[in-house]
Amino acid sequence: MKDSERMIVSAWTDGEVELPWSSLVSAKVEQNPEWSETARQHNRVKQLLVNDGEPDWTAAQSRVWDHLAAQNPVRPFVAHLPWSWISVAAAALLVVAAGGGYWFGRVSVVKTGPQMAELKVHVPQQLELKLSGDGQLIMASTLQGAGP
Amino acid sequence: MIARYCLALLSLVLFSAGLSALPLDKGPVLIRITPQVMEPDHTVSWKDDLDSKTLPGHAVVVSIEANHVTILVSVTPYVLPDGYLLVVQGDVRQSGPEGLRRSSSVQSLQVKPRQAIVFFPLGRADPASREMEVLISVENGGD
Repeated sequence: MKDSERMIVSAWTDGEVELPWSSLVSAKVEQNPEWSETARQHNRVKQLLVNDGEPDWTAAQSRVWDHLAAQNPVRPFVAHLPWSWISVAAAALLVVAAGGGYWFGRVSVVKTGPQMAELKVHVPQQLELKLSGDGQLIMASTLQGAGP
Repeated sequence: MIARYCLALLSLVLFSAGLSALPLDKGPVLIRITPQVMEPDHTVSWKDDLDSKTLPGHAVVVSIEANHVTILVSVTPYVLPDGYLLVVQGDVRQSGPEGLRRSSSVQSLQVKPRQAIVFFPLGRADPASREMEVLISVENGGD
């Protein structure tokens, strides 16, 4: 059987040969045992590809995990520590966290409390004020000493 | 292994202690701010007494709204061994026929507790004009 004939059988198996050529190939497959065997092999491969999909690896994965677990048993780190040490560490962390929370909370309350809001006052409308220059900061005692 | 965990815990405790030692934890301070309008004859035609607690390094801001003039006065106290350092910022906006005028200033003075200072956010006018004065003093704000 020539390679070109195998290609024709493969195309016919995939339904890619149109009339009137498909009926000729069909007759040849029925009459010629070699063409018939080739067509059967192509159909088998086609069915495997369409139906079987990915194999089930669950059992193989399970075996690999069992093997690894037997060689390197995994134990939680905490299991190595006595309960008393774990309790002491938890208490110390609680104290540190509470202290930090108190410190930050205290700063936050003072900083954002009502007394830190921008204070607003209104000068009566009839009192006209105007900008005369740059701001000046002096000691009050100096001002009183320079008074009339 | 245990020594490593003890060292880690000790580091956490020391870190918390270090935060507590910052100047922010020296306790609140009380700032008294009194804006007032002084007439040419040295009479006070308007005043308002304001008290505000804050922490060292955190500003108290007073907004003074007047006719065509808005004054923002920001007072930030810092604790010194023998008193306070007051940083006073002034920001003035005046709107009028000539458009918007703006003036900003930053000054500081070292004061003792309850020692008053005076801030002139609009500058020093001539003796025949009305002036805006802001009296400022600072003291311990308690716990």
